[in-house]
Amino acid sequence: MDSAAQAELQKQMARLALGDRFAFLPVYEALWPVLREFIGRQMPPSDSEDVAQEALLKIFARASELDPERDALSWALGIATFEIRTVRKRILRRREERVPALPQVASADSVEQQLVARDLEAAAREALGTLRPSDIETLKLVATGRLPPVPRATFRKRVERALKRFKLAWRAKHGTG
Amino acid sequence: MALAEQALLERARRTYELGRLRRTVRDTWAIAPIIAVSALHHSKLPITVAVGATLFALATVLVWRGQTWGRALWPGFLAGAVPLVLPGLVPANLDCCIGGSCWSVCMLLCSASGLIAGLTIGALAAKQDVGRLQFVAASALIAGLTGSLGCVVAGLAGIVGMTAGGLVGLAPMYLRLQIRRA
Repeated sequence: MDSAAQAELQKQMARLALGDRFAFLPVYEALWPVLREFIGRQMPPSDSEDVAQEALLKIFARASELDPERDALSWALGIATFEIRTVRKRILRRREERVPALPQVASADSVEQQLVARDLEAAAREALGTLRPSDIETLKLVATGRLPPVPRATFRKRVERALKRFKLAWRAKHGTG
Repeated sequence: MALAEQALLERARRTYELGRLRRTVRDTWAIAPIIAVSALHHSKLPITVAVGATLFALATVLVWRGQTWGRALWPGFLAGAVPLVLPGLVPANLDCCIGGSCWSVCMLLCSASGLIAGLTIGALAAKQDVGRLQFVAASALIAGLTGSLGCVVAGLAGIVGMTAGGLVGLAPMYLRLQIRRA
């Protein structure tokens, strides 16, 4: 966008912020291609159109909040950047959820599972004498494919921390990653 | 799913209007203390609620509409604050007799504060480069409703007195405009 077009957008967005509806169409026509291009550069083509539309709607929802002293284009692109980040996080979360959970055995407390869990615990205790019981419990749950009654995000964080400590302890005991 | 261009344009317009409506809260909150002041001065609760609701609706529309209409809100509150507060400062049964006719002091204060409100609106309207008439109309309506919440203490006569005072207060601005045009 050249400086003349940017100055015009600034003027029109300031008018729109004050409630001048005649400025709506010029702002829409100037902003939409800029947003599409900006978001298209940062998102895969499959998502970019949706993200650009969401960003555009958010900009218009907050158009009245624009301080005319602020640079309107930077303000709009700031909202778009935030939208990109939000969508990226959403995609990442969706991918994590798509990873299939370990197959559930008919009975969670079956003998086989208990044996696996006990062996695992013994091995972990042997190899990782310093590991906290809570970490062992978390790893046991991962091995058996069960989920504790805590939010997914909390459990994910616990697993992450337990694995980190496990690796450190393993490395300390066996000297290898 | 991506929207078609026309649908997106319409949705953007709707979103903009809703955004403006949400933003009105930033200005209309002032009506709560106005009603509280009114409720402290008298016990005419149904009138206070009715006028307060009308004031809220009008203020919401003005701020949502924006431009000169929206700009007129706070000057209206400011001008209306005088008749809102002043009549409540004296006892309701106090009379003032001038030249053989007696008037309630509240009633006189309503007219005087209406005059001050009119002069205030006139002075602020003179500073407007565009939409002066819209500004006067909107701020006078807001000031009138705000002031009514105070002047209701003197009854209907108080509100009429305040309105008459306000019109007199606006006269200098009107005359100045006429002189400038001539």
